[in-house]
Amino acid sequence: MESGGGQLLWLQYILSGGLHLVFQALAVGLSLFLLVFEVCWLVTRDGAWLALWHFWARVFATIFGVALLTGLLFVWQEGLSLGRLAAIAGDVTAPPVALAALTALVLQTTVLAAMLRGQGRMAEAPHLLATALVAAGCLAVLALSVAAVSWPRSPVGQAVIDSRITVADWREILFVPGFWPRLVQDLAGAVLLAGLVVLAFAARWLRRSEHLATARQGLVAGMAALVISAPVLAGGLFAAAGHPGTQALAGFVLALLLLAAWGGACLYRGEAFSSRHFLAACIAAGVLAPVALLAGWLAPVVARAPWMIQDLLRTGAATTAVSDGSAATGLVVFAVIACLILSSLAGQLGRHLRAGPATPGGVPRGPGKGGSRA
Amino acid sequence: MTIYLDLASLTAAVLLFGLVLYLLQDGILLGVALGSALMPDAGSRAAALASTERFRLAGESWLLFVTVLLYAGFPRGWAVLTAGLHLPLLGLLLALVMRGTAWRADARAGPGAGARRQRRILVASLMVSLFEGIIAGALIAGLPVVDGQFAGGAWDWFGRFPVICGLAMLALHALLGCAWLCLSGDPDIAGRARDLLGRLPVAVVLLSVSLTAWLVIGDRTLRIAWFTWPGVFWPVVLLLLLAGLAWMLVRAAARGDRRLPLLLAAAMALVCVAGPVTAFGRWIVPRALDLHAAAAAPASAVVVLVGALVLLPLAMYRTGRILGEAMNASAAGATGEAGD
Repeated sequence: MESGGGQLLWLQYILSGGLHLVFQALAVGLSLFLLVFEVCWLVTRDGAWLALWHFWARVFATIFGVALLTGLLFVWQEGLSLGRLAAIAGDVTAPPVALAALTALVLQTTVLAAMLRGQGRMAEAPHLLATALVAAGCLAVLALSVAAVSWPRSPVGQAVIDSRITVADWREILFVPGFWPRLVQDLAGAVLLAGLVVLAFAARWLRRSEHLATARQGLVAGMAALVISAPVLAGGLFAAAGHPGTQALAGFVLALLLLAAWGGACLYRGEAFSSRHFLAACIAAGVLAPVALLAGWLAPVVARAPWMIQDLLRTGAATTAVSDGSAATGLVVFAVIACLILSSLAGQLGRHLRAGPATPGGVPRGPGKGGSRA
Repeated sequence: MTIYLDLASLTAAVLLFGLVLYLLQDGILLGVALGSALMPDAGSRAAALASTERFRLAGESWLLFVTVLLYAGFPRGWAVLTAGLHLPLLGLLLALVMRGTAWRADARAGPGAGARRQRRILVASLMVSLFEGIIAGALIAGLPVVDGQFAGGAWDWFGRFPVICGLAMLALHALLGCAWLCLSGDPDIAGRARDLLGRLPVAVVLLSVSLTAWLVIGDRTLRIAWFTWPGVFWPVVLLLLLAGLAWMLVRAAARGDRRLPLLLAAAMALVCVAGPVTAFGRWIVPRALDLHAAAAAPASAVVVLVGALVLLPLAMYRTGRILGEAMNASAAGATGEAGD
């Protein structure tokens, strides 16, 4: 039987995982949005796209920093909660997590600064390359994370030696059955989350009649992300209909499809940018999106419950051997940490929101014809 | 088998390298937060803090680097550390997040917001330094391990030795921070930092001497290793080296030298690391779990090591550039101020 302390540790693990997952997904999604905004700007030369790029690049920098911090926390929390998992199966579970972190760090030390500071200072082609590399790096981090969470669900490619689980074949471990569909799902989830956040910000500007040109493009981009990603997610959820707990997520995706249809109808009638009810619904969707994403993470972990690694290691044997008091302290500390991070982020996003996007045409350091070299 | 041994040692060497870079970089950041509290007025407190703004995130990055290398390179060591040091590690994480969010707070949110932000950064930095020292001290003091698993209680880490290690870490960080502030172009800041550098090196030396003596008296194996041939002079050599560097640092600060204090403070930090590393370098948990027993299987270690070795030169280049830029910015402040 599992001790109460063990369950508290497990709870910390899944909560810190969920916290990190939301920011990682948001960073991945926003990196793709930045790429799209930059391509749109280069193709159309419409200043609204560049204003969107500048605004969301600032938000992306914030989110990327928070994702690194929650990633650091998650790695430590995994150790503090599941110490014996590391001792028994660390050979298999640790390297994907470590590589994801190292990839994020490589990204941070190389192209991220060029992308964030280079717009308007670098020539256009190298800057586009930097933006594309940031998006590619974010995708690599996502893929490694998906591999890290997929293996315990359907473990293959491992060998058990002296009651320790070790690596037999990396390729099998990284690409377990179900890896690719899950990657597609998580990518769709990331695009959806970022899309809904972009949509919500644009809707807020439109409701207050601020930054109209930029907000219209943002609304269109957000709706496009919704239309692309929601059906993919719906399909995946339909395939995994057996999972309990996915109903909530399925309901949310269904609501989003309705929102997309409503948006289409509004666009057709020419009132998408003015219908206050529709814009309010967009804001609500943006607020609810992280909750839905959390549900999508929690459902399979909870469904796997007595197993930490399916049929190989029970949760009770994977948690760190500490007293119930320490475990309870850990939960309180984690709650405080989560509140600190979220309130700090809210403050920062509030500042970005108040600053708003630069008005098109008045973008600081907009590149001249052909761009200038730094 | 040979490859196995080499991989573990190599991973440990890269880990140690990352740890030293983390200590130096975050030491400066934490130390500036501590030193800024001792500045004469609100303006110079804010300016002192701002001089490290550029490399604030780099400290967190090196910590992440060290963390994943420890986790993936030495999973069994990781399991013992996270169980045995559960509470101080939680404290350190909380302190790190408190510091990060304090830095991100808006200094212009309203009247008194700047001072509040400085206070929050100071308290969180104090906690980070203390917990880092306590964790290092608890490791050096030793954790009970049976069959590769932690076999002690929740409060085993809390003792006089770890707490004094915490104070020593605080002094070392303050030393690094004040040495950094000597670069500042603002004569108020640099002058106050030089005053502090008259005493901080002495405190670091005294704490190091007492901690070494304490360790030698309590640890029979170390006593034999150090005070029979050929180990006779090792701790004495290190402490003399430390004292020599401290003397040079005090003199350099008194002379008003700008760059030399930072170099000497970094050298002192390296000597402080060299002591425990040469004494316990072959262990993940001193006296209880050695590197090779804790190491990941070669197929796993090699993956992480390659990743780490790709990152290392890139990160070092970037760290060097950011530090250089920040140093130049500090120095440029001098000419800017002088021109006014």
